[in-house]
Amino acid sequence: MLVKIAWRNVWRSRTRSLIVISSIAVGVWALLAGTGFMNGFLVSYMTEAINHDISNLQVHNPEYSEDNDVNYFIPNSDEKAEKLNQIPGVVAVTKRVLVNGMIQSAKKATGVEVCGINTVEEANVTRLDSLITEGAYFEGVKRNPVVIGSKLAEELGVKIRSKVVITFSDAEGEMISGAFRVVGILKTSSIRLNQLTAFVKSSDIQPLVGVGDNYHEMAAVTDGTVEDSVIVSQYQLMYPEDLSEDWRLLSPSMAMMTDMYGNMLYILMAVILIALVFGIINTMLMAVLERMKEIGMLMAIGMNKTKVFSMIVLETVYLGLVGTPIGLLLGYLHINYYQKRGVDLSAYSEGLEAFGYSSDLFPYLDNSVYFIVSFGVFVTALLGSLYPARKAIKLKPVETLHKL
Amino acid sequence: MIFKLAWRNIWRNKRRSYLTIASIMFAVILALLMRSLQLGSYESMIENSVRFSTGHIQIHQNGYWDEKILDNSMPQDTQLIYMLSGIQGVEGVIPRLESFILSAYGSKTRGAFLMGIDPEREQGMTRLRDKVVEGEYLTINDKAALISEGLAKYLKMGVGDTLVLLGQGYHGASAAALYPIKGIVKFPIKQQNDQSIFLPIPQAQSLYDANGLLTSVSIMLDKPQRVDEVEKTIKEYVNLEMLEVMNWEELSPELIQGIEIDNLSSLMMLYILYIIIGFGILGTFMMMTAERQYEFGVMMSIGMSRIKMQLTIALEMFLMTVLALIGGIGLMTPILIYMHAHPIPLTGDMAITAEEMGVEAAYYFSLQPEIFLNQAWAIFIMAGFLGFYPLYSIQKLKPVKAMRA
Amino acid sequence: MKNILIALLFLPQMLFAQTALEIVTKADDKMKGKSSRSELTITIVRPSYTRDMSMVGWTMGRDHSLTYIISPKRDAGATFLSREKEVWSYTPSIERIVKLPPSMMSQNWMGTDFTNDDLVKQSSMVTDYTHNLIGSETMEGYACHKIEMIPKEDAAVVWGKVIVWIDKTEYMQLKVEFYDEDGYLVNTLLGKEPMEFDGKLIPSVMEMIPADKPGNKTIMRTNSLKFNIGVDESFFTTRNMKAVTAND
Repeated sequence: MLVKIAWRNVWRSRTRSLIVISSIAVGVWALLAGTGFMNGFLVSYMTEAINHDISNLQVHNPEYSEDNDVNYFIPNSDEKAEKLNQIPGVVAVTKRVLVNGMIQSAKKATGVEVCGINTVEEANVTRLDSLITEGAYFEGVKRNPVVIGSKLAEELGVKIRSKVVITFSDAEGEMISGAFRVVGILKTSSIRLNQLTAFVKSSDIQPLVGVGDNYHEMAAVTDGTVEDSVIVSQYQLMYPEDLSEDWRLLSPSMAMMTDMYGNMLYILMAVILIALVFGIINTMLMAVLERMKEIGMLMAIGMNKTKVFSMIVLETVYLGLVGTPIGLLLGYLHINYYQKRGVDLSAYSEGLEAFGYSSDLFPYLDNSVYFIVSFGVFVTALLGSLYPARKAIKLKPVETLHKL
Repeated sequence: MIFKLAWRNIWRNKRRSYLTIASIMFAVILALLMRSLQLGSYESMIENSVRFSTGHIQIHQNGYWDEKILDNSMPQDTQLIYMLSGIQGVEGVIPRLESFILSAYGSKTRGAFLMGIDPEREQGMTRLRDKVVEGEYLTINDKAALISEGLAKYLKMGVGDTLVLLGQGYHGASAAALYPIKGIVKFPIKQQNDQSIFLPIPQAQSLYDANGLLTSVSIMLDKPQRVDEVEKTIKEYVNLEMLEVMNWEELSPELIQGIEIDNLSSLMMLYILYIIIGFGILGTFMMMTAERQYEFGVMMSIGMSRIKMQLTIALEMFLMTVLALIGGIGLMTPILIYMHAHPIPLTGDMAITAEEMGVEAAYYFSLQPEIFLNQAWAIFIMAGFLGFYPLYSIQKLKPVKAMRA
Repeated sequence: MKNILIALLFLPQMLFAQTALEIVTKADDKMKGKSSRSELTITIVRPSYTRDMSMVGWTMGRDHSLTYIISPKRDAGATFLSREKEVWSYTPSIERIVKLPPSMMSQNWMGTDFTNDDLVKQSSMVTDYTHNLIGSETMEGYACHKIEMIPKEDAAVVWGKVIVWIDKTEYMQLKVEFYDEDGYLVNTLLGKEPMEFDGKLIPSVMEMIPADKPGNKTIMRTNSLKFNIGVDESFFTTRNMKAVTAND
């Protein structure tokens, strides 16, 4: 009975209902789009930085972290890498030979960290290949190829196929030099990668360094199903002699940025929900006040306060039930459309390109977000109806009837 | 006449007017809150970044910025420092002499960045004293060094041990010296933690054979908004043929770009907020129109022209919007002033990390006047735009039908 | 039989190439006696200042050298030892011997246009290059072979090519031009004012001129030079860095 009255009430004042429905729909859409785009930012920019630069977790010889001596490699890294890869949640693992040295061109010489990588594994973990802006990822140069950052290339005054000489101390402390050819130039916002690192093939550098087929660093990416810290402790259990750290430990500044960004998202979402609540309260309140006479009549003919209260709340619920799916659909279509095409932001920020980011933003939403947002908006709408409903039952039937 | 009518209309139905004003006011409040929070976070980002690197303004020899070598040093001019300290808004003047050096202890050697500092002045900017984890901080007359924790570990040395410094000084002079370690400082950024050494400026000058020379003078301001004004004053004073004055925007373009990128997402959230509050305001306007159909019908049938009615309604809405803007800003100004002075502190893990990073972990609120101006305009324009609905509705009004409804 | 025919066919070319190689080998040997002691004055010319240094240097073979600084006063007594790709530095004011790490090797040595790396000489002009005689020119009044040297692919050499002028009778290097891989001149080394030292004619002045820094150059003047001075391995030790004097 009440259900029916409320439903009929909704459609009696079409304009008003449509306003509430559309503001709920827009609210749902806006929250979905907002979260999607913010996720896009977070994924594109921060996670990218984590992936390209430090990865989710790293393993070293504990001595190496303090003293970058090439003799502090990880023993049996092949076996360990395989074991690490088998831990649930780990997607890919890569191993690196690291040695500090000097890179030299005809123009200049400067200090670098030489990073010997397995090109395929490295691409799986850091997607290093995707950062290449000139030349190719270890293709086109047969002997001793090297990939360097654009800043380093500029400093050295070298380009694709230029020769550079890399000098460092080997395991015995002897000075070793080797000729390498620039095969690719990468561009990224990370100063470390862009200016201070030279990537070579591990098979080229290992004989020069004289560490056999050993490595100094293992880095892994995870799929997020298992906490990175859990994976780290699992590895630590297997090989307590190694030092394994997740990205939060490796880069506290990044960890803080990500946390702050995430929290900011929640706060901004809350502000939007408050705005939505206010819109709903306002509209429903008007709806109630406008119908004072009618409500007064209902109460005069014996409808009790609980019923009147429920009626108003139910009306809002209906409005929510109609508005939310519309918003969900809009949001879903919107996100899906841009998820495939990307949003071109190049017009808004030159900074993006300069940072080595793609100017296309790909919004992204977890399925759970749809649920959370619908739920949040629905509860918001419900909350928004409480005050007007209370107002309605505070009315004195006789007075209201007299008023007009 | 119209004004009087409009004013009376507003106060005739107080409830309705209050609701309308409240919805616009609320829009103003939320928009202000959001933007103030967003810009506040950028301000703290800038503040932190500037504090730990270059200062708001930096003065150095022409050419030093492109080639950061000792040969591009500037004279240490006490009068300049005195003059800079006197400029209104200048909180600190921080002289430095920086260069590359080879550090050694026992059989270990490592390249490092050596910074000659005025310990007291430096503390006012980078709060270096707070980073001492072992031993003590420097004084200007000390003949001792501070060394970063990672470097100390690598060299396997502690407080009291003697550090060997070897390198090249001003105009190719050799630089070699021994200094006892007075303290160990810890930095959150690994690179900095692995290769930093600090000496009092007089010691750095004698080491590098650079007596009376500095590589840069950094200036911290009490408010970043003063940069342009202070920069202008400095530029009038110094010899620009010899010295270069740069502000933080020029010194750290990547910071600007980072903020620009982040601001994109912030603006997106702001626009979403506008859409939602826009709907709220529209709802109120529509309701008001629907409610007043009868009244409009009566007015029109007693001979009031449409245009006059529209003008009256427009004026009503204008007045209400202005009242709402004044109310919103009036309410938010003291709140934001309070929030600006008392940022909301972070809690939990984040607070701990932030503390390690040496930044204050909190949500900051900005008080830039532009926020108030821009948000007031935005809401005003939005209300004005949405206000076309009631005017349109009057245009379409059929008096007889309206009175029957 | 067939091999001999092929060999005959390429004989002229082989002779020609061998000649260029021979010239370079002779020039290289000329600079490196078995051992030597020299007194040098180095002048660093910069747009804003010039700086003089004087020193004594001892060498043995191609990879042992010890340098003792006489002036400026601030650096007097400092020694540098380079031994088999390692460089050590001794500073009397702090009484410390420090081995320079690879990252330091890129630094200019004592503020000159020579780098620490130049002192260690990672590469050999004989074995790391292929040589081509490309003409004859007169330098400093001496008729010179002009030889183009292209680094071998694997050689740890940053240059794209090096052109060297070697005089036809005494095998002195009177000019060396260093080019990058794009063919731009990077450095020029000039050998001037040949004088006879210990029976050998040698350019007494060497000038290093970086092409991209106008107003910069380093002039190295040899005041005296003696060969085969009878030093051995024990002279080029870190212990001797402290003990050696200008009169040794």
